This record gives sequence, C-alpha cells and structure tokens, in this order.
Amino acid sequence: MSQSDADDRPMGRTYALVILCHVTVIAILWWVGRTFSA
Amino acid sequence: MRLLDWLVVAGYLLWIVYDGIKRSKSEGVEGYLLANRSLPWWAVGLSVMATQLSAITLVGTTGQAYADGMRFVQFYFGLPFAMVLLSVTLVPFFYRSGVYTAYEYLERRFDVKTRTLASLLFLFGRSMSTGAIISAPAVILSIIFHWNLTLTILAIGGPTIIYTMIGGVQAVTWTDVKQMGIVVGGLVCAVIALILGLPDDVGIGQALHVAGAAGRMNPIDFHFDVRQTYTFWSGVIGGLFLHLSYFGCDQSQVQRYLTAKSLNQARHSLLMSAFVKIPLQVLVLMVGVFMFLFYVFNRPPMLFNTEYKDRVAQSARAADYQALENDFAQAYDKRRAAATALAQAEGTERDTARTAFKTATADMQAIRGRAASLVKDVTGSAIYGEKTGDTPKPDVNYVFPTFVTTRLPQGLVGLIIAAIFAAAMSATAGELSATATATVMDVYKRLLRTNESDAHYLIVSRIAVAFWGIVACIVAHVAVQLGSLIEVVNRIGSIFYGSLLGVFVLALTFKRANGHGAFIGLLSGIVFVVFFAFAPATRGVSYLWHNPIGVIVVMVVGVIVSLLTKPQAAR
Repeated sequence: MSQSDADDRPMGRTYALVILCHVTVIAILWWVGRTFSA
Repeated sequence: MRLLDWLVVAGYLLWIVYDGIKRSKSEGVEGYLLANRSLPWWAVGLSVMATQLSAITLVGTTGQAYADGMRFVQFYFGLPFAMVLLSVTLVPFFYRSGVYTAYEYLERRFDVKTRTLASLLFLFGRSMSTGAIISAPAVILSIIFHWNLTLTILAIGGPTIIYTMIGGVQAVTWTDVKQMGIVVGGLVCAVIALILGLPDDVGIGQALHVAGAAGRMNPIDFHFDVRQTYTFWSGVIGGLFLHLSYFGCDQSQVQRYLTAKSLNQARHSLLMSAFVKIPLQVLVLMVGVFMFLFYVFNRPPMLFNTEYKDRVAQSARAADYQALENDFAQAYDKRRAAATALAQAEGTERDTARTAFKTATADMQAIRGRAASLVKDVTGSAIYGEKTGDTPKPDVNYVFPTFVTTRLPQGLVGLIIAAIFAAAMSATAGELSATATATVMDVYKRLLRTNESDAHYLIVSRIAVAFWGIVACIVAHVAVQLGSLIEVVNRIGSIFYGSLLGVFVLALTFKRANGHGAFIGLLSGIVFVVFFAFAPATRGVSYLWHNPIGVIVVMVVGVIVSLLTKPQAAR
C-alpha cells in the first residue's frame, strides 16, 4: 500500500469512537457531580 | 527553595536546552520550520497539547478549581467535535497543499491581501499573548520566592529562545514531549501529596462529599446563559467555534500538525488531543479540588497573595488585620469540625451536617471578604473587590504555588517549579516557532525578498525566532506595569479568532467567494466583534460567543461582497 493510500484510508470509525468516548466522559462527569453534590 | 529544589530546576533547564540544541540539523528551511514533515503522530499530538497548556493553565486553573470547583472543564466540551470536523475539512486541505502556514492557503484560494491581513492579525495577537504566557508565571514566582522579576522572565524566555532558535521545530516538538511528561508527573505527585495530607479518618469518597457540599464537584451546568462562560452550552457551542478557530486557523497549532509524516498521522495527532485533553484537564482541576479539601483539614492562610498581605501588615491598619486573623483562626477551627462531622455522617444525618458545614464555610469566607476589603482600602487595589467563586480574585493564582512551597517536601517543590517552567516554555516555544514561520513565509519571502537561497531563509528564520523571543520578553516585562491594559490588548487578540475562522469557512463552503469578499468580510468581522465585545449592552456576553458571531458576520459580508464584485478566475 502506498503512502497516499494510507493517507486516504477512511477514518469514520475513529471519529465515531472519539465522539462516543467524549459522550461517555460527559456522562461520567455528570454522574460524579450528581453523586458527590447530592 | 532548598538546595535539592534548585538542583532539580537547574537540572531540568540544562537538560531541556541540551536536548533542544542537539536536534539542530542542517536540513534547510523546510527541516527547520516543518521537520521535513517527518514526525510521528504521538509526538505531534503531545506537542499540540503542550503548546496549548501554559503555566497559566497549571497555576490559574488549579486555583480556579480551588475557588470555584470543576465547572471550567466544560470549556473543552466542544474540542473533540472541533478535532473531528478539522480532520475532515481543513487538515487535508493544508496538508495536501504543502503550505508552510495556514494563511498561505488563503492566497491560493483568494489573494495576497487576504493572506497578509490574516497573517498580520496572527502576529499581532500572538506576540501579545506570548508575553502574557511568560509574564504570568514570572510574576507569581517572583512574588512567592522574592526573585527578581526581570531575571525570572529571562530564566523562562532565555533558554526557550536558545533551543528554539538553534533546533527549530524539531527541538520544539521533542522538548514538548519531555515537558508534557514533567507537567503530568508534577500534577500526579501533587494529587498524591494532597490525598496523603487528608486526615487518617477521612476517606477519599467522604472528602469528595465535603467538596460537593462546598460546590466544588460541579462539572456540568445545563443552564443556558450567554453571560456564563462555564456552562454545558457555552462549552459545546461557543467552545466548538473557539477550538475550530484555534486549531484550524492559528499557526501555532497548524504548524504542529503540518510536521506529521502523513495526512492520517496529522489527523491522529489532533484526535489524540481530543481523547486526552479533557481527562488531563480533569486531573488539573482535581488538584484544585483536593487543594480545597487539604485546606479544609489544614489551616489555610487568610489571604494567599503575600505581596498584598505584607503591604497591609506594614500599614497603620496592621492591628485590624491581626484581629481578622484571630477571627479567621476561630472560624477555621469550627469549619474543620463541621467538615469532619459531614465526612463521617450517614443517611439523614448528612443533610444536617451539610447545613452546618455550609454555614461554617460562609462564616469563614465572610472574614476573608473583610480582609480583602481591608487590603483594598489600604492598597487601593480595586481588583481585591472582585471574586472568583468565593475567593478574592488576586488570591486565585497564588493558591497552588503557596501549597507547593509551604507543604511539599524538598525535591518535590523543585519538580513542581520545573513543571511550571516546562508549561511556560513549551507554550512559548510553539508560539516563537509559529510567529517566525509566519514572518518569514507570509511577509519576508512573499513580499520583501522573493528569490533568495534556502540557506538565506534559514538564517532569517533563526533571526525571526530570536526577534519574537526578545519581543515576548519585553512585552512580558511591560505587561506587569500595564496591568489591565495588556488584558484589553489580549482580549482584542482573542476576538480575531472567530473572524479568521469565518474566512476559512467562506473559502471552503462558498465557491463563488472572491478575494474582495474575503478581505472585506474579515475586516467587517473584526470591527463588529470588537464593537460587540466592548459595547455596554453586549459587554456581558461571554467571549466564547464572539467566535460564532465573527464567523457569521464574515460569511454574510463575504458572500454579499463576492456576489456584488467580479468572480475570481479559477485557481
């Protein structure tokens, strides 16, 4: 596989993983706030 | 600081300068400014984060969490979305077009006047902010340790100029990697020391309930209020535009990922930041929350900023201040007892214990407020009338350095001071390299000397690094005297961001857009946002919202002017 093929490889799954992890982190932070502020 | 601490700090400075200088290779101007596009994604990703994380983050954000809790983390909620959007849109454009600067792309798409204006805006904004990056920790360290301010500025700026000038972007990136290690290591050590400082009969979970009762465990706020910077919606929407602008249009970040060895490696470096930035910020904020808890169970100073405290102690009202100190000591003892009761309370007892703790905290803060008023009266310093959370504003940046210097063991103090130096130097180095690149590529090579040899541009690049380094040190020194004026200059610099992003959005989304539309749109965006930021009716709107407003104004004006003027020849 050439360098440009590697460059153009779709990264849709990586992007989805980033967003999923981000939403999970927000959910954890929300839970932490709720647990210790209540 | 004791001998071991001095040795740690001196060892750090020598190691970083040596490591930076040894990266010097005679590879021509592309090697010097872009590392011949050869760096691995993880090193570039760490460099991206190191450039963004300055000593202001390390000292100011821990103090912010001490005073106001974890709400600051919401500022970064738009960042992962921005990184994904940039990886899909601007990063491939920049990388494939082989540009040195983000603004070079604007000439290829529009014309030279738009490129020059964007580059000059960047140079103006960044030269001011680099001065602030150096001056903020220098002022704090000089007050805490009674160091000479000029020498402190030179201790931060001097080594950074030397290794950036000699080693170029290779030195910047590889020293950034090590400096990030020192910063994270220092933060982890601080958290461990703070946890060990809690009483034996109070567990971490119990302590966090105490922090929650004092409003420090509040990472998410879903209220929509454009005047508030740290809410979920300001972070997601305003923060998205700010981070799109910063990582997409600011040369100090664009240059980082242009050094990656392939397009996907450039994307991965940004996505690494998207994964790591928020957990890293949580670590920084947790240092602040645990500092708050440490000072719940260990007596804090009534005021942390020793400069003001000393001036009051030498004034005619020293006796009033001493009386407040006595009241504060009694109020602290009551609050400590209330905190211990709350930590150990179970079930329904917890509500009663929480109310008692809140009352004791309010009593203590009331005395601190009276002390702040006294300082304001004696010194005439109006800023002592302002607060961050429940803490006097000028105290916020002194909480972490006070904890480090008065409570940590020998050696660890040196490590944390080295971490503060590392954060300041890594951010400064990235800015120097970027301002030099924009100066040489967008101004010198494009407008002044277009046909010189590679060796000539390499020498000019090194001179440009030294020039901007000296400017940053001078601005840092002047910033201390100018005080709030430099804040205004910095504020103006930061409000260019949305308009700059607007030009890039116009370039990518509106095919009919031409150079006149982009140039007039950019100017209109800046004028409108400056007016919006300082007009009495809209001054209260959080600066995060300036970015989407700038984008909209540039787009609207850019589209109208483009439609009213001659179409541009295909490029």
